Amino acid sequence: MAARILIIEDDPHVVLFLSTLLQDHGFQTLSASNGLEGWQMIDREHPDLVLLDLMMPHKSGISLFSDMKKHEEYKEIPVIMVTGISGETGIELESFLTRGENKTPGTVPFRPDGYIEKPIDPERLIALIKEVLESLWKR
Amino acid sequence: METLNMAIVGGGTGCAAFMDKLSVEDLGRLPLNLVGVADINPEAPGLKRARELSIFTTNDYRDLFTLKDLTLILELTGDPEITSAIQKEKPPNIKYMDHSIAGLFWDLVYLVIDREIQFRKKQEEAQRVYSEKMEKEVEERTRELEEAKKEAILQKEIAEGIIYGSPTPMFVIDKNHRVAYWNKACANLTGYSSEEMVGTDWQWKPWYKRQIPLLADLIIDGDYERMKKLDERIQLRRSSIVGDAYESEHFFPQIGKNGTHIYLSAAPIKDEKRKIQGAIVSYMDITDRVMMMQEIKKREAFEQNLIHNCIDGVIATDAEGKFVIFNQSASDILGYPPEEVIGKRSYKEIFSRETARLLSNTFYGDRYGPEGKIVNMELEVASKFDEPIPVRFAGTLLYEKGREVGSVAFIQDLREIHRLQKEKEQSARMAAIGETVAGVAHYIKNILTGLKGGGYVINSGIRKNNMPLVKDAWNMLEKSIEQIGHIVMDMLVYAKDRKPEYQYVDPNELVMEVLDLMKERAELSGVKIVHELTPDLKEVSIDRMAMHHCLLNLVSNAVDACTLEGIMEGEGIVTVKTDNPEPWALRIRVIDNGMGMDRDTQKKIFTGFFSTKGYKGTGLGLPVTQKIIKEHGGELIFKSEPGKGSAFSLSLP
Repeated sequence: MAARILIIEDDPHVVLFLSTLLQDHGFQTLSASNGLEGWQMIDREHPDLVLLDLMMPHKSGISLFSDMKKHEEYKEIPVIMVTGISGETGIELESFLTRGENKTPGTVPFRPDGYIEKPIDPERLIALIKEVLESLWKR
Repeated sequence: METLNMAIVGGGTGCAAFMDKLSVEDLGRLPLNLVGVADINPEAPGLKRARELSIFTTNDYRDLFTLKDLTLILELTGDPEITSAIQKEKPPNIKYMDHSIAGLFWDLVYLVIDREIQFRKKQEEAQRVYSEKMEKEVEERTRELEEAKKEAILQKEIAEGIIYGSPTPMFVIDKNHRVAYWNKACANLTGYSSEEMVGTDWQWKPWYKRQIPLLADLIIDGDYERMKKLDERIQLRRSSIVGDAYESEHFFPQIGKNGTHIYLSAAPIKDEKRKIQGAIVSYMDITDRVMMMQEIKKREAFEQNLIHNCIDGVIATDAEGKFVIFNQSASDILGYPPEEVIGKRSYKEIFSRETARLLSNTFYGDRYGPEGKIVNMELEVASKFDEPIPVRFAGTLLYEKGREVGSVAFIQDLREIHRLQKEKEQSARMAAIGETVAGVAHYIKNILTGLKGGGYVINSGIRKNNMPLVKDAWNMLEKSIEQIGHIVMDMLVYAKDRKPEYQYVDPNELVMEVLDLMKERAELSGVKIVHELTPDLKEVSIDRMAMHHCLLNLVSNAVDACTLEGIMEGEGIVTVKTDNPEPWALRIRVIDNGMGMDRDTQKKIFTGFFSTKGYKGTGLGLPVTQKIIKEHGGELIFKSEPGKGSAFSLSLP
């Protein structure tokens, strides 16, 4: 059975691109256009993997990711982050992830299962998704 | 003259009277001697008188002829018989004078005698008067002398009293170098009492550790050689008030707790023959004065130093406008060496006529600070070498009793500051560019994703022969291209230091133009646009293109606020209003009932590249809008409440 992948992304054109790409590689796709909608979708559809954009209105990708990791059931769902942040902008992803919601003392910063930078390279994304899913099944 | 020895014949009263006169009046000076008297009557008065005077007497006139050296016989009987008898009987060598001639002779003798008596009396009177006068004179002199003596004693006492009682420390030494006086003040100053000092030669003791002659000793000895040497040490000078006196100022470490600065003056004491009998020395404690002078000098030096080393140029002029202070910095800034201008030139002679007039007008005007002052006026002056130098000028006119007596000014060289400012602006711009590049990179990455993704989907659609998919993908490409256009425009406006190109515009017409553009998009999003325009607004002078861009930003933001994420309940409404709140001001308000903004967002909306719109926002709209409005001298203010909407108000003068 084909894996079901939830795309959470506010740009409808990016959603169109990603779903076309994933479907072309035999995945089933779902989509949500912001963090809130994405949470509802996870709740309803229990996707096998989430492709999560970081910068979104109404609950950012970081916030949603943090909520998922605190959730008993959803913390197991692998997440691949899609981000425009990279070394070029001078912001390290590492430090970006460890700030904000993850600052509670004593908590280990959550790491996504993978991340891919915009502009998205189709082959890299597919390879990453397959890699993450395979390691999930091996567990 | 030969003495006349005379005898008288006839001793009557006439004879007796004659004898009386001769004896009583002591006619010794007359060359006349009575040597004998003869009368027949032994009781004749003349005979008696002659006997008393031990003169020879006889009763017979012939006896007279025997008298030795008889030269004259005087006959006073008046008897012609006797007269003729004598003439016949007398020896021839004896002269004879009868009573008639004798009467004449008597008269003559009396006359002479009287004159002699008168003369004698006068002489005696004169003698008496003279001696009386002399006596008086002597008495007077004696009294004067006594008084003078008293006076001298009094003066001596007064002088001593003055010396002793004077608050000025003084002492006197005599010509043998012994202390004669040592007054109370001197005792107080030195700690040596009068009792200890008077009579000794210890006058050096209070002042020095070992015995050396004091100035007073040298004066007494007239030792000018040593005085000269002393001069080198204590800078002696002749007194300007008292001749022969010397004065000096000297520091005595022995006197007082921390030593004492003393002014001393030494003068010779001379007697009436101008011989030196002693010397008097007086002292004055001038420590306070010296300290004050030192303090003043120190302060003066400090101030001079301060002025001289001040980083700012310090310039002062006198009442004539000539420079009296022109410090090194002023010289460095303006190129004139101090010695070339101090006392020689005025502002008019180092600055151009325009600059000098500007400074003068500013001093007397109130454009920069009150009248009489210039507070931080920035201007450009030409240096001596005609180099334009930006300076900050602060100055004040100086008044004394309402009269202008000069000016003082501080000049700050702004070249370095301007250079630093430029550098700072440059680096701020560089930082902004860095930030901008980061923001732009993020945005462009989104667009690139759109372009790459669009390409992929088109290929996929063609491969699957899925035309609707190709069409959607094409739409995606077009959208991305449009976004590139937008961001390039915004960046140009935001980054460029552009000057607005003003033209007169009817504000309502401009607003309608923007609303027409937005109409279609708003309708697609289900948002209603309402306009409430005040008719016949005054035309405003604005950069039409730029202001169009601003309005488009505000209205499209308002529409977005009503549509984003579809969480809006009910109909979204955007209202645009125009009016003149003041006769000279134009106000355009854009009000929506959309999602509103929380506090965090409100704080960041004018920061470049901050956006809540995700893929749709460049984060440049509001910063660009604000920049344009500021360039127009206007302002952009807003109110917002989460869930209720926002209102932006744009005001232009």
